[in-house]
Amino acid sequence: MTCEQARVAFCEYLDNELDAKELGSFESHIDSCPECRREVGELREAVDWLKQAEDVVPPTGLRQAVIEKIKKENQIKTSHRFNPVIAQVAAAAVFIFLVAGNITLSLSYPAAMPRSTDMMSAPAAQEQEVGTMGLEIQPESGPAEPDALPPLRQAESAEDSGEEGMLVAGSDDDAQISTEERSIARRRFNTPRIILNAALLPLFAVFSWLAVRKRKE
Amino acid sequence: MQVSEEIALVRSCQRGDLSAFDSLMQMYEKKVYSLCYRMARDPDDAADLAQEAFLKVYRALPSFREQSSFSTWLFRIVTNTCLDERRKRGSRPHTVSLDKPYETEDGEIALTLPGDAPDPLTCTVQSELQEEIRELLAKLPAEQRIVLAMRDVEGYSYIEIAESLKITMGTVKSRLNRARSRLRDLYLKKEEHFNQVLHLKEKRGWHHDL
Repeated sequence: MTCEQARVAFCEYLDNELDAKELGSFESHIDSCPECRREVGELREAVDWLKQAEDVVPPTGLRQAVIEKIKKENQIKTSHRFNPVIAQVAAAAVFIFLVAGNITLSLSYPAAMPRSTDMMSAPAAQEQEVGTMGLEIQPESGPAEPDALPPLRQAESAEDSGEEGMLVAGSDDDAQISTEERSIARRRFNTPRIILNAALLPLFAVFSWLAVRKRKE
Repeated sequence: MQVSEEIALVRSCQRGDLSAFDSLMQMYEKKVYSLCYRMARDPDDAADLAQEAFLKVYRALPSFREQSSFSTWLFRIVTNTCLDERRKRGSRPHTVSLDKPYETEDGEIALTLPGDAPDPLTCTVQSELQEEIRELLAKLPAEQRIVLAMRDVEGYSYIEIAESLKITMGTVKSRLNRARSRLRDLYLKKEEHFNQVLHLKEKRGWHHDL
């Protein structure tokens, strides 16, 4: 056995982990090598000194403290579990406000009917409202269009013909005033609606996202 | 305790039974705390480490699939916690406070260390030695310190050390050799210093002070 091999076996020698054959060759090396013999002696002394380390007893409150921490963690988890329901309810509430707000605002300003170009880009929910509004206006309007037209087209044409009738009936000044009034009304109509949608749509998106995310967990 | 009983307790814990977890902790708290104590700066720090380790065990329980023995799995978490904490905290100095109670929401829990010292003199000499051992262990890098603590202080087998630290038997032996060699150097230095002081005092006729 070389010194290199003996050094590798130091720990096993000190722990009595060498088998008979290994022990034989290790001891014969130790007998012939004073350097390794000294080193093993020092190692044994140091290890024996370390082995005097006393047994320690865990503090009495240790387990209780762990249990308390677990309980606290569980409480936080349980309170989080209610979140999807809250988020779902909130999302539904915001949605109702959104729809109700849009309907109310469009009913409050009937004069500010968006023109056909605006209607094309408006969402489906608004289109439906406009459709019903148009039907209300229809009886006031001039000669009716052919019945074959779908309700929405009917509404458009009813509005257009209504405007035309007004232009024909009134003077140039009246027409000017009515256009101004209409643009003011449209502005008054648009501003609260934009505010409503800008505020509620992101809120709705956030709550919906929260509800879906929590359910996935 | 029987292995089957232990597994039954583990399964109860997995279903959220806290009293079963308390029983499991009771079975292992001495071994867990002892190992944490060897890796810690002081008893307070050791209690923190042991608590952290048990919490990690509880959190990881749902993922315990009974592929290894529970104790092997548990000590893997404990040794990891000790090594992670040592790496995180480094060797920041820390003050000792044995009488500081542990605070919970429901009040304070006193951490008491039961002492069974027979007489004050033996106690002082003994605690000086313990302090020396602790100081010397603290000078070793965490990886060496943990093998030394497990093998020479707590008496774990090579296989237990290998499984807990997820290293090979060869690595256990080489790490242990390096750790003991470092221990020997530090021990001899300490002894040399002590002998020098002794020699100096004798020369100046202060031996009666000892």
